[in-house]
Amino acid sequence: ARRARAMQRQGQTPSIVDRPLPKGRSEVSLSAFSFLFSELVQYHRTRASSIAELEQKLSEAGEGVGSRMLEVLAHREKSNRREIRLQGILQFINTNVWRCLFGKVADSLEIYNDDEYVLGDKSLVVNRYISVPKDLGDLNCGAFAAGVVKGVLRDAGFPAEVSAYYAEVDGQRTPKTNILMKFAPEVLEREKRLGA
Amino acid sequence: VRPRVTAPDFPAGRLRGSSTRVCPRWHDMSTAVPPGVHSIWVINKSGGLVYQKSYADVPAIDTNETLRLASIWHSLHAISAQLSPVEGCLGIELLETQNFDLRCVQTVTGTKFFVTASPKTPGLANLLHAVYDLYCDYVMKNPFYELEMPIRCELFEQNVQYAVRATNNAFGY
Repeated sequence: ARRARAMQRQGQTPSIVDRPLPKGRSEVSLSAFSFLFSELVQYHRTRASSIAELEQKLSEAGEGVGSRMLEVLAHREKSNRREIRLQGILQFINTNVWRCLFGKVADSLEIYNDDEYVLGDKSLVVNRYISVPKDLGDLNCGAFAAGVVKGVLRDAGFPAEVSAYYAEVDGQRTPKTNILMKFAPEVLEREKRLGA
Repeated sequence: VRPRVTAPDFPAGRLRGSSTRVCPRWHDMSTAVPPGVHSIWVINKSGGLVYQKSYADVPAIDTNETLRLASIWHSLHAISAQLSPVEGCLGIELLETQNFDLRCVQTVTGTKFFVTASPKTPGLANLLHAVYDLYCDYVMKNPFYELEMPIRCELFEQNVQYAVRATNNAFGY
């Protein structure tokens, strides 16, 4: 941005690379997104031969979103500071990424084993209007959100296996969606080295 | 002396706009009519039944029979729109009988939603618009729903149940 202003003072129009990043729209119609996501699921459903493959395809679609989100949010909200600790990147996903994508922070972040973390969301926006028929078993279209998380983690240097599954909650009709992150051993080793 | 012919006790029906009043007295049922909303039916644009559920203690209708009734209603709705002397009539909106009311709403896409309830139940039009909103949300945005097919969406059925219960509670049924 400084360079853009300098060029303007000299009387030249700044090139596109020198202009400041636009703020971005903070709100998009939920209906528009739901219809688009519904089409995405239908498109992959005709091309996948099993439930696992369908979830894999949705996850891949999410990974693209995740890696771009990391760059944009790191620039906009964190002034290009990199997260090098596990807790840091998890908090980043929990608050910044979720708030930017879904308008609210994720409901819970828990640790199961040494290498397994679970992000919980009572009602995931992508799943809100989807009722999975019985013959598709335990398909969870939250695999898209799992893909977003996987993309963010992979590009931040914390490779992990991420998946989404439903978990029943007492006192709530609809189950909540949990996103399970299983980190690669080198991530845990690095955490140990950097000090607990 | 000409024999006196007595017509059956049929009150003169008033055709106002697009509603019809029908009160046949020869089937005078004196069994109690359950209060509140009885059932909700959804018909697709070609006249096929996509959703039918009863919410009160009314006699069950066989599935094939419900399909037949839905297509008959679809035809009647279309006929009434053509018979109307008024320009721009959209079809039957309200059918009042001795034992139940039937209110129908047709969307711009040709999908029809109708509800049967005990006579003079208030709030039926709002209920139908709420069901239309739920249809747009939980059926249309569901990637596993095939268009014009019977609705098998759990979230839709759950939310329609809540809407019916809310209507019944709001008016003390």
